[in-house]
Amino acid sequence: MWEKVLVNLMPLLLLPFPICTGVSPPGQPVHLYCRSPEKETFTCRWEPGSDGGLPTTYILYYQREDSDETFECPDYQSAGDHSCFFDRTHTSIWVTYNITIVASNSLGRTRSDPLEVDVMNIVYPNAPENLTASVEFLPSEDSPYLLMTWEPPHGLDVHSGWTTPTYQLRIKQEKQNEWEEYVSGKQTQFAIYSLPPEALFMVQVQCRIDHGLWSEWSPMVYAEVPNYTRSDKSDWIVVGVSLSFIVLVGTCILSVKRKYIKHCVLPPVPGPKIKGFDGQLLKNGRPEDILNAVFQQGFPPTVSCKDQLEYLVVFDSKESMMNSPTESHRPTSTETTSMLDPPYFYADLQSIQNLSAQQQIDASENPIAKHINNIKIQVNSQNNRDEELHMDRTAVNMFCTSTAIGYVDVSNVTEEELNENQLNYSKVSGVDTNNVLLLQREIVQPKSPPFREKGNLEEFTSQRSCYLDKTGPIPGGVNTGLKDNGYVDTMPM
Amino acid sequence: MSRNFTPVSVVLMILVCLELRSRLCQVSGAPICAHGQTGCHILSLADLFERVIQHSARMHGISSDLHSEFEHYFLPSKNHIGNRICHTSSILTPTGKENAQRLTREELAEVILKLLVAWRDPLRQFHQNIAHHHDFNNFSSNKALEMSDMVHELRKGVEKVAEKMQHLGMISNSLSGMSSPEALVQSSVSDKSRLMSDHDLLFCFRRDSNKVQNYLKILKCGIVPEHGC
Repeated sequence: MWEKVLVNLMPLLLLPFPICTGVSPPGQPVHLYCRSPEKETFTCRWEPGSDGGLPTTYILYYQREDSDETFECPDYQSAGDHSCFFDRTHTSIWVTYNITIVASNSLGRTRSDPLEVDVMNIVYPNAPENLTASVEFLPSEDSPYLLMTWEPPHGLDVHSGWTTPTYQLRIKQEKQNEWEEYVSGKQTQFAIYSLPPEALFMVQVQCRIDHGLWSEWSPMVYAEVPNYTRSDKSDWIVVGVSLSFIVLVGTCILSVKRKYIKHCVLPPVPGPKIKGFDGQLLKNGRPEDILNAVFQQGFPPTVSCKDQLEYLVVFDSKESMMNSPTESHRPTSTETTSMLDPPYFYADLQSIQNLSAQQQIDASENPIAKHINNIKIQVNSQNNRDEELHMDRTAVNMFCTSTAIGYVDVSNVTEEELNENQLNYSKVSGVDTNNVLLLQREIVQPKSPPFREKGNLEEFTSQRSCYLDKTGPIPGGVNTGLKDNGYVDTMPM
Repeated sequence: MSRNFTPVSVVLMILVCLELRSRLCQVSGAPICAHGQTGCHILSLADLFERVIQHSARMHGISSDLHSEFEHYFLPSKNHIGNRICHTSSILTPTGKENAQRLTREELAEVILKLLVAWRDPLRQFHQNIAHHHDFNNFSSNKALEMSDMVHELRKGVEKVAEKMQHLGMISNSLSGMSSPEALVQSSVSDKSRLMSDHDLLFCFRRDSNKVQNYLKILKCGIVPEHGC
């Protein structure tokens, strides 16, 4: 019975077996990577597919870009299973390799996808070697530092310039979670200062060539920092930094309150002030206002200083003028010869009378008056005194109506007096205002019959009411009612 | 308020200027004197080499960036495997360390110069092409211009180095005048360069700039082995 069941079931049982225990062509191998550790050799590794139950061999074929020939892998052993090692003689840089792996067994072959490789791009160095980390002390100070040294990975040729590795470190304290990375460049040592006491450090280093791939991290290295007391220098540094910060803040505040401090420390000097004087008026006012402000009562007006006296000698006739012996001694021109020498003007009575006939003598038209500012009239008469008096009066008349006269002095002069060039000075009896002198008329000793002095004076005074300005009396300056003085003083306005 | 801020802003400006100056000074070094003028800091051969090598490294960096940008934007599929022929393939270049060390200094210098000369015109043409193309952004266009300028400058730098080496007697004067590399390269190469596509051009230049960088390093460490070798 059992045999019958087995016989019946046999075909059923046998059917799947050939599928389960059979063989198949190999699965497709897959490239893993090709790497060159030193830019002189390279290794390619692959992942085999299923082997199909049969012994499968893997063959690596490659082509170089510079030839059409197909080559086979030169070394399958050196790098381990499923790898191909290209040694120096078979490696060329800057040449593209086209690599294919073929898996074959008795049932078939399977090709992998092709892989294009240029050794220039697949440089992947080994990790640096002989990493050491030690805690050292600076000779002058007690603070320790961590010194790390290492060597380039073996097999790398750094002396010919063919490969230039650059390094990178990572350091961590045992209690920390995060690594700190430091770039070391081309140097094979690195130092870290200001270590915390009683700490355990873990260090690792890696490298890369030119701008290729970073290597694996080297094995971990440990270093322990002993217990030590930190020097007081750090405390002083803290104090110094805080002080400088306070100074900086103080400076900023001072600069902000600059004006206020300047006001406190250096109070401004008050400017000058004039009572009743309005500075604004000067800036903005009209000329009339300025003048009114400036020239107030009590403000003395200016005086035209014409210190020079000029003499007008009046003759009674032209002949006598010509015959006068003074001619020879005195210049005839109206221009002065020297500053010290007072100028003499000569005129005869007739011409003066002609001039005085004019109602108003304009200074600009009068040739004599143009040059004459202060006049001392000397009446030279060879005739009797009546004519002299008349001459005097006429002369005074003329000059009092002239507008350009400063001082007018009328005196009687004889020939001798003229020759001797005597000046008549009057005694000053008083000063009326700032520039008016009250003179005392001298009582002239008569050489000739005395003339009526008082009457003369009265006449003089009556005719001596001279007003210089046509517009009217000058405020506060001119003494109009002169009684016994010989000068009329004028102020040109 | 503005008056109070003026001195502070002036101080900040001075600080910023000093910072920028120090950064700029790190990049540029002392000026090179031509013909050894008196009172001028004359660079040693090692310094010249250092500059030239840094220059070539930067040039290679820019070419790599441009190449990857190009591949990223224009060739999304990486299955494009063409048979690339660079116009400089006619120039015999050592393909490994031993091959490079086997060359004499003169031969190595000559190879470097040949490569640099061969790339001057194609890069200029390339920059003009992409300057008109609106597909490339300004950034790439600037990089292309920079690349083109760098080739020119690097060539001049290498010529100076060769001059100095001849002057110091390290290499013989058999490095025939600087015009001849041009003559050798020009005719055979110029035609091929026009057939290259932009992508091929970038690929080829990336490779050649790496060659130049490596050859220079080997040349330097063979002549002046101090620091950096």
